[in-house]
Amino acid sequence: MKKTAPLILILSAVMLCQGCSFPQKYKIEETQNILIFGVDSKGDEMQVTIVVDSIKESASAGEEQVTYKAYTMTGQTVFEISRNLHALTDKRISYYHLKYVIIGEEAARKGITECLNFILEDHEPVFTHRLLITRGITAKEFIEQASPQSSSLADYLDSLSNDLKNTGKSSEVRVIDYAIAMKRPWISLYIPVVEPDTSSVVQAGNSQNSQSVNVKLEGYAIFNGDRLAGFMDGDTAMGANFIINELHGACITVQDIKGQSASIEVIDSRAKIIPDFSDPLSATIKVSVKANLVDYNIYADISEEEFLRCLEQQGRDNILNKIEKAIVLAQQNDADMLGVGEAFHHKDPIKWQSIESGWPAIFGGMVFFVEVTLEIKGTYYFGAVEEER
Amino acid sequence: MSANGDTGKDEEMDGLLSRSLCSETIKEVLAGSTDIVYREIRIKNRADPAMNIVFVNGMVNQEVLNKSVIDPLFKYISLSECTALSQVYDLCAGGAIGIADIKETTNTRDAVDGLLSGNTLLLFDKLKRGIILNTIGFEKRAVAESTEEGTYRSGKDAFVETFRTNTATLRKKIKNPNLCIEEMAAGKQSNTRIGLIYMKNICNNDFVDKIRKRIQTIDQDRIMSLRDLGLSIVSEKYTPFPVFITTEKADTCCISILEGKVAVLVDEIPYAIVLPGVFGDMLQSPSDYGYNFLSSSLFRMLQYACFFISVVLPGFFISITTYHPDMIPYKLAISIAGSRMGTPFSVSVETVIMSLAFFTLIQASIQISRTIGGTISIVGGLILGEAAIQAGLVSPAVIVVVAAASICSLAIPNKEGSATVLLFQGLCTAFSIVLGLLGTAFSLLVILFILAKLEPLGVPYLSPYFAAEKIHLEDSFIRFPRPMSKWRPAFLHPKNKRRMS
Repeated sequence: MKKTAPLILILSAVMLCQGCSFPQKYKIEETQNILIFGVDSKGDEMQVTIVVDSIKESASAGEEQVTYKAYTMTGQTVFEISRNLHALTDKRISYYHLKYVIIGEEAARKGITECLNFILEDHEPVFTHRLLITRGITAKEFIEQASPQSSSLADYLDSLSNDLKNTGKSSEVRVIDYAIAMKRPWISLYIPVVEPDTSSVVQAGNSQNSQSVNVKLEGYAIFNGDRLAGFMDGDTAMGANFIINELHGACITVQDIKGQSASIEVIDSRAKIIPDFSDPLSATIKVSVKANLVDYNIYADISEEEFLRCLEQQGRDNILNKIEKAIVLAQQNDADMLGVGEAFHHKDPIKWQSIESGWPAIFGGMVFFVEVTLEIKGTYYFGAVEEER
Repeated sequence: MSANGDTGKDEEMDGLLSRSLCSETIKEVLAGSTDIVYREIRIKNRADPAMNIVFVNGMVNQEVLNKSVIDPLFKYISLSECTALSQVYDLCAGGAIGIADIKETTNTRDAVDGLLSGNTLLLFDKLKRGIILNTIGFEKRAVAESTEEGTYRSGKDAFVETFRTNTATLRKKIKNPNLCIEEMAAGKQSNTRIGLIYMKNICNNDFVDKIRKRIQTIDQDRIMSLRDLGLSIVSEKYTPFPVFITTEKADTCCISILEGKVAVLVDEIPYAIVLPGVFGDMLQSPSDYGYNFLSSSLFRMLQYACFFISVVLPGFFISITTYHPDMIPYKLAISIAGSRMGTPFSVSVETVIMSLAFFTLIQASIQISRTIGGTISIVGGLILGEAAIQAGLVSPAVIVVVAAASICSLAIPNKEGSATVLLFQGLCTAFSIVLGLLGTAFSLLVILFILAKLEPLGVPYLSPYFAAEKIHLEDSFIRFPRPMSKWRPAFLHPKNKRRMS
C-alpha cells in the first residue's frame, strides 16, 4: 500500500488538474485549418474573411491534395462571426495553424482592439500570429486579389516575410507585440503594410500556380493608441528599423567618387538611444552600421582610401536621412514607435512618472541628435580592371 | 574494502605468489576455487608423498593426463629405484613423463599462470620446484557463436550447457588467480550445481555474501530457469525491469566480473546472470567496446534515445494527433490528415491494432522454428504493411510510427529490456489515449517512479546517474577514451576502485 499510495495520489492529481474531465478529442482529418484571418469594418458591423485549407483523400500514398477556400461573413463582433463561420464549412475549423491576421485600413483607423480582442482571448489562437495592415484596400479585397489559384496565400506571405531580412523595408510584428503595446501605453504600435503591387502584374499564362496580382510587403502602419495614424513608406521604414534594431540586411545605393552608382549591403546594425532628462528633453540616437561594398564600377581602384571614405560618408548621409525622416514622421503623428519612451523609462523610472501621462505630445516636440557610423568591412575586391581592356 | 584498494595492485596476492613453490602455496593462492584438482602421488616403495599433481578441472585433456602423466609415474621402473627425491625430479624432467612440452620452474607465479592456462603442475614440495606439463584440452562440446546477442569486434563465444566448459571459458578469458569460482548446489531435489564467479580483489564482499546466502536459502525443488534463480537472489521480484543481466556471451560476463559484479552460472543452462544489474546495463552492449569512443558514445546515446522513442512515440503520436494538433507543424499536419482520409478507425484504434499485431509477430517469431521464421516476416510485412494500407484499414502514418517504435525496441541490446520497453509502450499508449499529453507525461512519471524505487542488492537502479557518491559517467550513456576511464563504477563499491594506475 505504501508503494501504490503515491501512484494513486499522482493519478488523482493529474485527473483533477485537467478539470475533472477528459480532454476534448479532435480528429485531425476532420479539421480545416484557418491560415489567414482578415478583419474589416463594414459600417457598424465587422466583416471577417478567412482562408482555410481543404484536404482531399490522396490518390496515392504521400500525395495529399490541398486546396484553399475563402469564406466571408459579417456580424456584430468578431467572436460572433467566428462562431457562425463553423456553419459555412463542412468540417471543424481550427485556429491552431493560423499564420496571418490581416486588418483592413478602415478597420484599423477605427481601432484594432475590436479586431484583435477575439484573437487575444480565445484559447485556440496563439500570440505568435503575424499582423498585417492593408493599405487602400480592405482585407477581404486583398485576400481575394492576392490569393494564388492553387497554392496558399499564407505561403506567399511567408516568402515575402523572409525577404524582409534582405530589404530591411519592414519587419515582422506579431500579436504579442500588440498585447505588449496595449499594456504600455507610451509605446506606439507599428504593423507591416501589405498592398497589391499593380506596378508588377504577373501574366497568369497557363501555369496554375501563378497569381494574378503581386503583393508588396513594405513600410509600416503607425498607430496612435489603437487607431491607425499614418503610413510609413519602405525607405522611411528602413530608417525606423535602424533605430529599433530590426534591420538585418539592406541595400543602400550611393554615388562613388567619380559619380558612378555603387551599392553597399548592410550586414549588421546596432542602435542605442541615450535619453537626456535635462530641459528640454532630448535623446541621442547612435547607430553603428557594418556593411560590405557589393556593386560598384569595376574600373574603379577601391584600394585608394579616399574612394572608400567617400562611399562611407555618402552611406552615412543616406542612412542619416532615412533615420531623420522616420523620426519626423513619428513625431508628426505623436507616435513613439521608436522605443524612445522605453529608453527614458528604463533610465529613470521615477522621473519617467512625471512625463508618462503626456508622453505622446512630449515625444512630438522632442529634440533628437542622431550619430551614424558606417564601416565598410568587405569589398570583394580582386584588383581594378584596366579600362583599355 | 582494502585500504590499498586504490593502488590497482593486490599486495596480498603478490605476497603469496612470491612465496616458494609448493602445493600449500598453490592452495592458498587458489583458495575458494573448487575447480582446482590436487592429487598426491606416491612412488612405489616410498612412504611419503613424492609429488603433487595439480590441474584445473575441465581445462586439461584427461586422457593425455592419465596416459602420459599418471601411468608413467606408476609404471616407470627407474622411479621406484630412486633413493632421493631429487633423482625422481630429474627423471621426471628428463623424460620419464610422456609429455613433449614441459617446463621446469621454481617460480610460483609462473606455475599458477601455467596452471590457469590449462597445464598440469607436477609439484615437488620438498624441493620447492615444479614441472609444468602441457596437457591443455577442453571439453569438445563446440562453443558456438551467440545466437541471441549481436557481436561486433568482440568475442563471439557463447556459453554451453556444460558447467565446467563455461567456467573454463571464463578462466580462459580472465587468467588471473583472483578469479574465484565458487560452487554450490540449489534445488532440494535437483541439487543443481551453481557457480558464483567474481574477482576476489575487486568485487565487494557484500554482494558475494548476499548472493551466496540467498542461493543457500532457495526453497525450491529445482532451478527452473535463470530468471527464477535471479529473482530468488534479488528482492525486487515483481519489477518488469531486468534487475540482473542475462547473457549467453562469455565476453559480457567477463566485462561485468572485471567491473566488480558477480556472475552466476547454472549447470545445464547456457546462460549466465550477472548481478547487480542497473538501468544502463540494459542499454549497453559489449560491441560498444569494439568502436572508437566517439562512435561508441554516439551508439550509446542512440540506445537511450531508442528506449525513450520506443516507449513514448505511439502514445505521443496519439496525443498530438487527437488532442493537440496545434503542436504539429502545419505541413506535417496536412500530410498526416491527408494520409488518414478514408480510414475507418481513429488514430488510437489503429495504433493499438498495429501494436498488437506487431507484438503477435514477435511472439510468433520466437515460438516458431528458424526455418519458417522468414515466412512469418514476409507474411507479417505484407499483411501489416502493404495490404493494410491498400485496404484502407490503417493510415501510412500510423504504420510508420508503430514500425519506428518497434524497431527502436528491437535495437535495445538486452532482450528482456526490449520486452520491458514494449510493456511500457503499451502503458504509455493507454494513458495517452485517455489523457493526451497529460497521459504521456504521467506514464513517464510512473516509469521514473518504478526505476527510482529499484535497488537490486542495495545498488540504486538508476546508478550512476543518481548516486549519493561522486557520479562517474566514464562508461555510461557516453564512453570516455580508455585513458580517461580510470575508475570502476563507484556504485558497485569495488575493493579496487581503479581500472588502471
